[in-house]
Amino acid sequence: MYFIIIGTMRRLCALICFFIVISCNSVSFCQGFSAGFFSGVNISDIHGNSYFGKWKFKPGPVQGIFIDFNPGKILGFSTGMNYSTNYYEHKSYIENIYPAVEFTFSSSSFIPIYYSPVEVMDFSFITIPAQLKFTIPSKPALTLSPGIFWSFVQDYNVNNNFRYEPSKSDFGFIYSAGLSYPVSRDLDILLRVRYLIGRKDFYESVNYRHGSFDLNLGVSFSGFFEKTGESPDIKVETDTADGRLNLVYFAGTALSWNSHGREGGNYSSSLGPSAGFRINIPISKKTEFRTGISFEQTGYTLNDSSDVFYGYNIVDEAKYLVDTRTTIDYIEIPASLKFNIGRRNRFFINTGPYLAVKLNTRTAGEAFSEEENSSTFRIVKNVIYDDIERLVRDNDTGWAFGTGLTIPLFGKYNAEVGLLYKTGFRDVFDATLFSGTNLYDNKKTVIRNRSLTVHLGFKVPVSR
Amino acid sequence: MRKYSGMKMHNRGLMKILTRQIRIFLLISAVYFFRSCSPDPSLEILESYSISFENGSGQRVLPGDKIDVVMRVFDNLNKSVDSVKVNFEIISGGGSLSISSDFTGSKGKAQTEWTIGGESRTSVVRASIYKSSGKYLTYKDMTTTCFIPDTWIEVTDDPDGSITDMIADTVNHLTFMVAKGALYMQGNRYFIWEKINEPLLEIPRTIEMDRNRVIYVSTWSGDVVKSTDHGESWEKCTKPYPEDPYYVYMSVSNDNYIWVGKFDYPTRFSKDGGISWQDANALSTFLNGNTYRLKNGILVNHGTNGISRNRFNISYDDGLTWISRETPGYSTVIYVTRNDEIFIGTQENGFTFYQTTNLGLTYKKVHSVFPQWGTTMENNIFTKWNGFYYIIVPGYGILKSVDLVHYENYWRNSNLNDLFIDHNGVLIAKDWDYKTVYYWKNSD
Repeated sequence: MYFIIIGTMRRLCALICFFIVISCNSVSFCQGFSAGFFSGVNISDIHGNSYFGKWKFKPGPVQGIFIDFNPGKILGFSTGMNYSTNYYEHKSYIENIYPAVEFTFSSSSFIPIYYSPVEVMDFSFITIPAQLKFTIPSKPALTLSPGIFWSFVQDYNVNNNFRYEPSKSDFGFIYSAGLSYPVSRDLDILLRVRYLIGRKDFYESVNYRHGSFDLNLGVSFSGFFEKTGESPDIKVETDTADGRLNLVYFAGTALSWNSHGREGGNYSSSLGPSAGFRINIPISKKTEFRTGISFEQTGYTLNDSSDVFYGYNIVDEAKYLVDTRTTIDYIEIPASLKFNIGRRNRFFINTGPYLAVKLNTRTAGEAFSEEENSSTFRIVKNVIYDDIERLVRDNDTGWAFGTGLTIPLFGKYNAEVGLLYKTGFRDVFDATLFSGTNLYDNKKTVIRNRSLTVHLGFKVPVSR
Repeated sequence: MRKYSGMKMHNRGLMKILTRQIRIFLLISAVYFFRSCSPDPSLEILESYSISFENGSGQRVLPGDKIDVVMRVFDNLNKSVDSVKVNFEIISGGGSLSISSDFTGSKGKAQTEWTIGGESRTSVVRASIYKSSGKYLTYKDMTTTCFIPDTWIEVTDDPDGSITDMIADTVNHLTFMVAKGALYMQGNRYFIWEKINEPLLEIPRTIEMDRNRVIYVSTWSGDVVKSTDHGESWEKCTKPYPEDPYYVYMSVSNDNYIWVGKFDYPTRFSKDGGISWQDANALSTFLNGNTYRLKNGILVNHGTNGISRNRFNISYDDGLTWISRETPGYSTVIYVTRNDEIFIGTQENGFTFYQTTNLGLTYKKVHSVFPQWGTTMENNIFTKWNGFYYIIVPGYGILKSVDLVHYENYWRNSNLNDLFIDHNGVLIAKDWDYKTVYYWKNSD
């Protein structure tokens, strides 16, 4: 067993070295500049917010130009400029509790609210990204681009209670993934998803940070410096599925739950989407290293009495009867070993760790409360939608165990059906917000992710 | 043809597969997208029940009084809720209820009659409401203050909780008090006060009465307003300091002279009920001190202005000129009995009473107590009722004396600051917090 592991690790190192070498020296494909434009829609996704109320996902425009420099087959650099508008809108609970009637100020009256329950902010930006670009030369080609951006506020409109101005510039991280499909010799159509997250608080007192994700469609032209008749003759040779690189685009459903449920509370599982791609890098005939990027939504439901909506917690007497679903959106990067089984490598098992980077966290559902004080009793239905991003740690790590079946379709293309069990290593609840209170001083685990995912994939050989 | 020729051979199949995959992916995405579009957060009140008492809490009652307890149940839209079961229960104070259980009618009301027991100062009846299913909802207490005889009854309500001055006309059975910048007359019960709405009485400050039952009220604007018909009508006196718009210290001596003082002004007095004023020469330390006419015609006064110990003032010429004599122990107040016995109160060793029989040449200590707090210049220290003197020592309590030589503790309470007695002999003691008074009515 020890020698198998050593051998596998050596091959893995060799593979990584090979990958680096070809990314720097593959000069026969796509070398040079390409440029284009894109347009699409961005969905606002503010960060650093509190744990009360709903930040609505609101659409806004995004359009821009880009310039790519592709010195090699895999590695490149991308920059450009784009204009976008983010629309933020926060809704809290107080809107419907005080109906428009005239109250007398007796002891049994409710205190009227004098401020708006809806907070609205709009920002228009010029954004300049600078991204590394990794291209997986499949058909269509998959491009992954992490990087940074600078943005400058061109205009804004706010309706909130802050008396000071928001910051006029921002800096942050940008991640994008896209597919490009060639429609002619020098022209590609692009379908791209980008995720931007600011690192600078634009209202320091409330720790708001800009964020959005956008879906855009564009065209890329690459025939700028190419001499007539000297274009590289690209022959698409696909790697075989049983010994070369291959990509698996997949989508599925994850049945996830909170393993903390064993410590009390009527927790149950929740269904969420799982989609992304995996790249299988052969190590040996029967072994592959599997990584990739995917969107994963984990979560759980709670149907119990509790003081809070997102978990089972009772200090004295429960305040609410809770029926909620808490979900955490992650971008997940696995690093697993895949062992193919059988003469034709149809079956496989895979296992390995994963890193999940949090995107959003929310609790939605209903909660009912009975409130009684001296002279008033009422039953209140709370329609819950809380962005609880601050309550959950920025990332999670865990271990995954999977199995699956590869089904040949035609040629080098295959379908893949898989089952994956994942368990998080630690409590992802961030109790620091409640430090100094007795709410979570008991150090008990609050949220620990576990999931079982079924996915259907389409296995594509990587071109070279 | 050149470089894409190799790809075309499987493009059709690939596109079909891709199209199918994309459709499935979009379908799944749409399902999850719409599922994630949860409604906005909101609160909706499904049921609401609130209780109010129509006749209000905080009534002042006497033992044996019958009061109607009318309560109403309403929802968060202030709409009446009917068919709610109401249980009435006496929580404290004793007494009885005409009915102990009722259902709200179409106007959301239920009621009972409560006969006050008088077993405690605070009497409480509780209305608890239940749904028709029997589920308990909530309750509300109705509290009354029961003025039990021979008991100190604490009151923190306005206006009497903020009393600052009082006069009692035992002949005409009237009591007036100044509280919160207004003048009140005692109602048909000693704890009921009715505000006097008289435009001339603009922000009253102090009130005094002479031997002819003429009432004088000084205001914060420096006016003196009087009533010669027991508060029925009021008229302004000549302003004692017409050149100054601010308040004056006012007292009325037992010869019906009105005395006023003011910082940086000479003391003035009026012999004719405030029609004309003249200066009391060389009495600059007069201010708010009390003045008495002795049977031999001499005027005596205790001045309370300045740090001088010469606070005992004597006038042999009807107040025109004065001589001053030293008093012991930072004296604060003088009192002269009907037999011309002169007593002064000092802050020596706590609070010490002295008597002088030779117009301030010598003093004899008669009694001392040790209060927790000092005394202000405007305390109403000596009050006589029914042959007894009641003396308030701020920070100590109330003393009782028959001759101002021998004293006994009447009520030891270091929180007391002032004392008044109404025309019925009800003691009204004022607390240091300026919002609490204590009533005491003897049962006889």
